[in-house]
Amino acid sequence: MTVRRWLSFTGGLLIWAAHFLGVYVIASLADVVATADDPAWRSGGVIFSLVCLAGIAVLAVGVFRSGRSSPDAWRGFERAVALGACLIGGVGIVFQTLPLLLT
Amino acid sequence: MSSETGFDPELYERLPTTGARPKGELEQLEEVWCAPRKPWEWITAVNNNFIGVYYVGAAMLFFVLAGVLALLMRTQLALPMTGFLAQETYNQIFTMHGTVMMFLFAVPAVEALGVALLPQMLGARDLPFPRLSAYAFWAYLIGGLAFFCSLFFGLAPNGGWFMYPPLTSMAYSPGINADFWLLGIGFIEISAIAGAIEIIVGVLKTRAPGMTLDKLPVFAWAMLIFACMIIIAFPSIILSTLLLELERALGWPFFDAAKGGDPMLWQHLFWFFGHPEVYIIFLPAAGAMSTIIPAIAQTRLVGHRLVVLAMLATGFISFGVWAHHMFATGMPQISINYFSAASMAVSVPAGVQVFAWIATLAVGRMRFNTPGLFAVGGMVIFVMGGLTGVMVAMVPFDWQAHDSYFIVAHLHYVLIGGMVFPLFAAIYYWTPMSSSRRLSERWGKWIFWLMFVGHNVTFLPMHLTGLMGMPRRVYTYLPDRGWDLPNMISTVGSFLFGLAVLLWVVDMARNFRPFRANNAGNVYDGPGLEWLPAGFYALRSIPVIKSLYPVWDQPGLARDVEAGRYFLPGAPRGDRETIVTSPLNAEPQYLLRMPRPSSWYVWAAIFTAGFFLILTIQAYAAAVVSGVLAIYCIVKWCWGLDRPTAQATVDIGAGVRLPTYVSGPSSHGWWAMVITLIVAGMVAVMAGFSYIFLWSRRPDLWQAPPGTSSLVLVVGLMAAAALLAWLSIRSLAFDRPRSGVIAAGLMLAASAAVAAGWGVDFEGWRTVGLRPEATSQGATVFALLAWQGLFAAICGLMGLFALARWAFGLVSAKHPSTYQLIALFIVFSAGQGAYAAILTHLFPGR
Repeated sequence: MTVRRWLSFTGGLLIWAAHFLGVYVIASLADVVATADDPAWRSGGVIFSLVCLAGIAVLAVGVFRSGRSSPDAWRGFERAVALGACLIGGVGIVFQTLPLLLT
Repeated sequence: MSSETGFDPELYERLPTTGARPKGELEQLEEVWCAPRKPWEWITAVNNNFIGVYYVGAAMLFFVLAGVLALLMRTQLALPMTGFLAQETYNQIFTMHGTVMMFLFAVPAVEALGVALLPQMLGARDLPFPRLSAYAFWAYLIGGLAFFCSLFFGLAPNGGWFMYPPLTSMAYSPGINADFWLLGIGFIEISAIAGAIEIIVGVLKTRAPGMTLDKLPVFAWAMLIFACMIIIAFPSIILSTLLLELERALGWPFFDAAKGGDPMLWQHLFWFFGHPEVYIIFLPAAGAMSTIIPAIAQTRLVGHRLVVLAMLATGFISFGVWAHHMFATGMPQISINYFSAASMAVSVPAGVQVFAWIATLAVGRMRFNTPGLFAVGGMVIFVMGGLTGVMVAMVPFDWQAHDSYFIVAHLHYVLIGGMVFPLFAAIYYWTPMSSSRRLSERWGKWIFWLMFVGHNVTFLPMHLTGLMGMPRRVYTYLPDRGWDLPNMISTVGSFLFGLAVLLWVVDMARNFRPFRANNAGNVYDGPGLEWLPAGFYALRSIPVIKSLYPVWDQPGLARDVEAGRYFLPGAPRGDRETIVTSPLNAEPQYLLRMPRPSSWYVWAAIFTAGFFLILTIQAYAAAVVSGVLAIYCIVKWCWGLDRPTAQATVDIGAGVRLPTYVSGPSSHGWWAMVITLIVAGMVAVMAGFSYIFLWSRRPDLWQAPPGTSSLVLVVGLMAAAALLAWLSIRSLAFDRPRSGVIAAGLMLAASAAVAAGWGVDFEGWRTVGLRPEATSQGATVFALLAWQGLFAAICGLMGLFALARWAFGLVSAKHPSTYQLIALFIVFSAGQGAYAAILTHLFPGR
């Protein structure tokens, strides 16, 4: 239970971290196999970004639904921070994906 | 209110109690937590009230020493072509200045602040592993002083605080100066990680009942995130220093391009630690700011949730910016763009915190006392550093400013504004908590203005000097390049800064009076638990927390706490004890018996520091002796852990009874072991990254691995080790007459299986003719084997330890903690061995 709550609490940021690591690894692999900005590999990066965004959306919906009726103040705190983390993570993923789309 | 552990929150309603406390209860508590009475007890002290003050004092000593080095450098650079310092001496001094400031001042200072403040803030009697704090402190102090003294013998490192190879390889740095850095900071890494484990478990497990996450002080949040970042970031520097030392000592070519190595690997590993390091030292300082500013403005922190979220986001994003130190190294453009984007993004959470501080000051009534001045001054300086940070996050500008004095100005604005000024604010704010006298307000204001002006006079012109083309790390420069005047101004400013620090030292000498029974009290009207009346036992009784600002919001709290009307008003077992609570809702779980002072951890620290330092001067036999003695002391220390207790449960007040012993995931020891294993796992992950990275540089040098049968055997033995360790725990849980001997035997067999698996893997690679000094593949494979060999050796030691515990009758189904922790370690080691074997055998394949 404790681990699950911590995971949902920081989930948005964890997905952001996984996304950052993922796009960096994809570019590094592309640099070894072809070139770092090879269009096919870039498309892979964009798809990966979409998957991560979908993950954040699912997590955000789950967090939003959970604990709405709880009288505990700390539930409200956890929920607010978790939703904020999803928001920051989502914006962060879009921002990190821009280099794939713009350069 | 719903429960996390099954504890009934309704029980909180019984508190505060109303009856009179038993006679002699307070006297017993004072006796149990008494101050040192004999001279050597000042050295063996473990209480955070002592270790915390020692720790902060030592960190400030290194701050002063590194500051003196800065003044020497500024004297040399005041005029062109001066001969105040020789080139080699200058190189050693700028290297030591950076190294001492980052490793011996900044990280230890914020860790020290945590050790000193957290127990009182959280409502605990002490942090859960006081001996670990003491060990971390003594290893740091002894090792740090010896490391600093290398300057006096001309043996100090001279390759910059980042120690880039090939400059620091044997070819270009043949002396032992670089070894002093590589091995010298080994004990600092151990010390920092030990402190981080203490802080994580402390914040999560020793909070006052009712202190749920929304009521957790912001400073504690900051320290929790800080400690987690150390756990993730420091393994990278552990690995990189190991690899470079192996290359220097044994010729294993991790960074030697001629044999398939790559100096870029060092930069990746170093900066994966090095950039989060900036936030590692910033976050606790920011947490201190978020605590001090509400007290100074006498209002609640605006946007508390956003500030917590911003600190969490900073912690995460800071791991995505390491390569912005490498924009000029020729990385692929798309990768550079990712890091550029992340570097700009990290300014957002930092900005959220700054706006929260400004809004808090605007909402409240700002008082321009010394902590307030340092807080606001630090904010101004940090914002200026942050703005130039956004500038250098942009790749084209970074290429222009790279390795120039502009970067020196930027990093000092960030670090001094983000850490040094908040630290001084913290020292002035919290000194009344641990001293019978507060520091002088009048002197404090002089010190602030001298420091603020001195800082800006020193570093503002450096932006210009850098844009005019002056490179970093040069010991002198030619006249008539336009650099003379800004350099002279910077030197004048640095001495103003130095004067401020000197005055602060005098103020401390005049007024700081720690280790007294009484303190100066809540002179700034702060809202946290640390401002309740306290003794060496921290709070007389541990209150139920109902607010983020308990002193402001819970009327009569100080009176009731001091009268012993809350939990644990005495020492029910006549020993040092604290309440362990659950990590989310802070529900009481059990009563933890805390250690009394002894000397084993001090000796362990001395021999640990000795091991690393003696290795540096290549006296290998003496180093081994010191290492063995360190291990002996640690084993002696561990031998006293996990002892049976006479009472199964104890009344902690108001009729609430808690167990005196738990094992498994509820216990603090289990958490500490898991965190330790995360550190080890991160080293293994980074080693795996190094292996793949070096393959990608020169795949043509990679040779075929040993046959599949070898891999199957290794993985099989590792699986058997994990299974045997698990069976050992299961057999102990059966609680039959022979459970103990069966469990001990199985544990010994499990450790033997790990060693056997390692032996098979080692032999397989040796048989196929791979040599560690020949290629980067050999170097990385044998580095992984050496790392796993270390774990196999520890498993062996633990297996024998388990056997000895059984032989001395210290193993039972009711006290399985030691066996559980050994099993955790063995299962991890087996998993790590299997991971390393699978990676090196199957990638890139035959």
